[in-house]
Amino acid sequence: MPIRGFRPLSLYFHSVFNNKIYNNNARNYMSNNIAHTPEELIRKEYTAGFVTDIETETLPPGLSEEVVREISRKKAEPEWLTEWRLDALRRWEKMEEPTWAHVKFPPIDYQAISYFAAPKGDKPKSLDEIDPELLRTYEKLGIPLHEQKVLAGVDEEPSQPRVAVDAVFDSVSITTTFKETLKEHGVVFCSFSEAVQSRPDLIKKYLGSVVPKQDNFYAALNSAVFSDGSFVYVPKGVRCPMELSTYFRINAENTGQFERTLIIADEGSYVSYLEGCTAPMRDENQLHAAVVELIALDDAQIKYSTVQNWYPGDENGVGGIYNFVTKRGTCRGARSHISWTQVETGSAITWKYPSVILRGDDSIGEFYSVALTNNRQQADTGTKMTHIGRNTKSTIISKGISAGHSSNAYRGLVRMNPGARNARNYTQCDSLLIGSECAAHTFPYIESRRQDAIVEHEATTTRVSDDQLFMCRQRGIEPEKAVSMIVNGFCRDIFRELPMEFAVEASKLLEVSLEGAVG
Amino acid sequence: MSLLEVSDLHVKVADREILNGVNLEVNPGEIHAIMGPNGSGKSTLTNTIAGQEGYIVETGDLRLNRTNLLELEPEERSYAGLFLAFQYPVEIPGVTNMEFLKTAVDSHRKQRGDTALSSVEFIKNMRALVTKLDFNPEFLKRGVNESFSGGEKKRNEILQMLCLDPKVALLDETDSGLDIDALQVVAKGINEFRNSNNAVVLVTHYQRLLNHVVPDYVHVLLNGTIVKSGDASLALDLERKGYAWLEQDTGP
Amino acid sequence: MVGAGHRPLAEAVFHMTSQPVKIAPWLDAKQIEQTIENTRLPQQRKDPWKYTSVKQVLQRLDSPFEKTDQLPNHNGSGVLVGDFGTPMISSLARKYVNQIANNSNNVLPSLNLLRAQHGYAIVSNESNDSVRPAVQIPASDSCERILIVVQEQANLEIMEHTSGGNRVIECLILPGGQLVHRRIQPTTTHVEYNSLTVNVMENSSYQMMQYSVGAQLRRNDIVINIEGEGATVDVSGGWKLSDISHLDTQLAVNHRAKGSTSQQKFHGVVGDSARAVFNGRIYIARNAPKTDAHLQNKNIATSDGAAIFTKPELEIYADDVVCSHGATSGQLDEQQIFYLRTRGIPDDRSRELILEGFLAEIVEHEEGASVLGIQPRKVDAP
Ligand SMILES: Nc1ncnc2c1ncn2[C@@H]1O[C@H](COP(=O)(O)OP(=O)(O)O)[C@@H](O)[C@H]1O
Ligand SMILES: [Mg+2]
Repeated sequence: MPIRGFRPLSLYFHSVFNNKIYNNNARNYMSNNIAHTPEELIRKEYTAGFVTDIETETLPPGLSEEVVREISRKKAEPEWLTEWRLDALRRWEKMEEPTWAHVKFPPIDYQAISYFAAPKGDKPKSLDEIDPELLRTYEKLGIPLHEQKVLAGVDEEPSQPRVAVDAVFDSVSITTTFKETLKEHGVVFCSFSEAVQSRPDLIKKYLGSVVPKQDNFYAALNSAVFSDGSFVYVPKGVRCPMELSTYFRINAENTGQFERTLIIADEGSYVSYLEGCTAPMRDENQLHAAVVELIALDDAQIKYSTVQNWYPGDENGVGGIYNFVTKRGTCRGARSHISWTQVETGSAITWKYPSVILRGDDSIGEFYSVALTNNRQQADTGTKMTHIGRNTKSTIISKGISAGHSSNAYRGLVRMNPGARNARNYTQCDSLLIGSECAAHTFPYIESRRQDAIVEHEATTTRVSDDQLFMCRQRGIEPEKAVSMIVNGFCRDIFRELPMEFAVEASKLLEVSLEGAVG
Repeated sequence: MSLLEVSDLHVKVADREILNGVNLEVNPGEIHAIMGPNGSGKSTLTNTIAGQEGYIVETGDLRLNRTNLLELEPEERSYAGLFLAFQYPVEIPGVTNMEFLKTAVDSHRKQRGDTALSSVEFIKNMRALVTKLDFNPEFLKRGVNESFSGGEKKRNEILQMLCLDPKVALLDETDSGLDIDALQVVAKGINEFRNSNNAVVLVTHYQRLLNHVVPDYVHVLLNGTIVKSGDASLALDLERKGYAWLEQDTGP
Repeated sequence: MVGAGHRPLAEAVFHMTSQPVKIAPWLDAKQIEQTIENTRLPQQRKDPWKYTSVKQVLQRLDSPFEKTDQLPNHNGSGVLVGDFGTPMISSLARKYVNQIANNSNNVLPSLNLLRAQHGYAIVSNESNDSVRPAVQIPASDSCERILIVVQEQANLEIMEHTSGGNRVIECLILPGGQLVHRRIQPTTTHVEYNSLTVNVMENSSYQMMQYSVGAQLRRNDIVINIEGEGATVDVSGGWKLSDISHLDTQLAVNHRAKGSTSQQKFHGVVGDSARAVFNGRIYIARNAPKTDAHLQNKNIATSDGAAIFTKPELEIYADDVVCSHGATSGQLDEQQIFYLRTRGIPDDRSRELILEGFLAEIVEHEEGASVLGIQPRKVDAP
């Protein structure tokens, strides 16, 4: 039996009928850079591409033991963590960059990158202390840093969940909202650096427990120099009362961003976490090598959603972010559940495989992905589902859209270990091609060592058909609009998995990213 | 003044001449039926009028309300008031019927300089239409023609026609593959739509639909030309005698 | 790319001798060795040797082979079989041997050339449809090189048996030609390597069926290059593996011309501690629009020790294409078994019947059926 996450109610329909949500809620979150009509969309460019003029404290370019010690010192880290970082650095120095991905880029000079950048001054203790220039930045991006602002929008739809935000600017976290409210429920949501001070027990126990520091080249690099990121701990039996989210912003020039996120869902808890990212338009490529670790204990559920909109470079492929990210979750407990949903429209290069290790019996792993590449973008993305426990289930739905001169690859691995009694996987992997200069690839590895495990994989590659386009045009829908509508339809299964605010954002992002793809 | 004028239309498809000199004049308030055996060129005619790619007009003239259609893109023909109900409606997975219809209606409104309808208003209008056509409202939430039965697809075309309210509606075998109930719904939709300012061109194989929607004119298309025109009684003759007698009439 | 890390493995197990190429003396052995030197040698545990030991294959190639000079049996007047020196053949041999399989990604055909004990060609000129010439390529555990040429508009049927040897086949189907190729792979205790490269020109067709059972290690590399418009390729097959046998089939269909179609369909049953590896790849070049390509691989495991590794790949550079692939791995459907049992068929027999049905879907030939140990189905049909 295929395991299909089919839900009859389409998202769009939902948003039309609950247009309160559609009109109001979307505006509350990350929506200042959203265009509202098709005309605006067509003209729209990468509006998050501005630079914030702020005094920055940056470490000089280069990577050495001294740099790692300095980063650790700046964060007043305990001795063991400094040693942990140094060990990672030594391992990284012996490793080679992976070459198996279907992407091409000139060699990266790791000594030319600065590994730490932060706005000058001490970490602000309250909103009033934050540099107004920074506040303006987040305002421009539509990220609510004022708790009351978020509350104001909630009046009309009291049942709508609020969103708590951790704002990471270059290498440091600026502020985290709703901390107090969350504290009342026992939920810890703070910057990673803060957690190192406040919850060293948890950090020591779980850091590197899912993604070991020597896991791969970029993970090792991150382990040596990681700057900031978010930390979440949801205690036993607690359903996190609001969506948690981190907004990553790269601003400084010639710096890399190396954030580290750790989410622990204790027994019977639930948390939904969202992540968004943007960067200024610059002609140089910038490196982003993050590590995300998720741990779900017995009966816990983690829903992790990403809308990735790093600067993709211009239409000639100049500039843009290299997004080399290691994301992995482990369903450690019985009946635990981890789902990754990603909408990837940004970055010059994406190298990313959010994965789940299904260790606990009856645990569930899910991966829902939309990856859109246009112009000269390259994406090699997918997932790994490793079934270890009994009756474990995984579902993979991947939608790749290639336009322009871009290249888009799905790479996946489904592994059924000998102990994975009655394990199941269903994979659906579709590619849509727009234009004749792009490329779409599918590399799904299936490894089964278990008789009663069932793996099903289906994949298709098609293009937007002339008949579909003609029918839309006959009804008066212009070709550009028709294509973006068809593409949105193609991705609908994934958008259903996103929290509402992000779904609206994501579907608009697709339209923007497709700009100029129909010729 | 005629609404739709097709004059001496010659059309090539894949380097083969399919239509050789079709003439047709449709006035406001009229219903025309075009009949003919399979492969005689009926869909070629409707697709050409709607501006489908690959249908090459060699010579001839196509006018809607005096506007030269040949100069217009498919969506511009739609704005000019032309509607085609497809013989084989296309599926668009994941795009809901509601979204599709609203996008189409908004595009038309924008063209006329009207503002887009609010979602609430639009849904209200749609609900009324849906009830009129005995549709299950669930229908609107499903992907455009996605896993619709043949009958549902055809009814969906009628729904779109009512929604866009064109000047001229070309219905290409909208009656094929319908059971009696569905046929009546389609007929009801057409009768609902027609008025003294618009016109309907029905492409059909059977007399069946014509019992419910009585045509003013019946044309027989054979081998790419209209070989005979008459009133509703011609359809009855065809039903009894088939097309062979016409073939002999016109044969060289 | 030449990485220092790859070299020692090959050097340890394969020795360059600088001897002339025995079966094709016109070829420059030094140059071939040079090419090998310059090529990235296969790496253990990396694609395309992720699940099969390349070391064992290389070791086998470096060990002495049986000598043979047995030529295939054939019927039909328009077909020619002979070694590369045969007058009517030598010009074709000079033109194509080591040209068709000259693939920089796979160094093994070059290594085969250096060690080959036996080389011959099969050429069909026959264009009469009712009397298709049929050629039997016999099993051998030698190191062999075979060239097959189907001339324009000609026909040919090949029945091939493999058994523990190292065999490289280069095949060319000229415009309008048709080749039906059946390959039977019975049990062997040897390490067996087969490489097959087929170039398919316009409007020609290639149909291949491959039926395999156990071997200590059996590796089939199949590359089909569609070089002409309107060509049709249909590859199907099945395997039934038991004990500790290991079968690895790496199949690539490369669409390099427009308007062609390809089908790949493989069903496998894997029991005991056997391993089945399948890599099916569809590649569609930018200049190959209007391609229609489909691939399917289904596997049933009948024991817990069995392992199945499958990877259906798509690599697409043209937009006007219809492609799909599917792969499954699972066990016998308990519902089906239950159904048969309610009809009075014992459990064991029910399982057998369902497995037979599963394999019968890909079997169209008596000998194929018998090697897989099932009753042929379609063959009996009138
Ligand atoms: N896209 C096409 N390519 C080639 N031939 C076509 C195409 N469309 C229609 N034809 C041919 O044109 C003729 C008329 O077809 P059509 O207009 O569909 O007939 P009808 O609708 O009356 O059954 C048929 O012979 C058909 O095969
Ligand atoms: Mg027709």
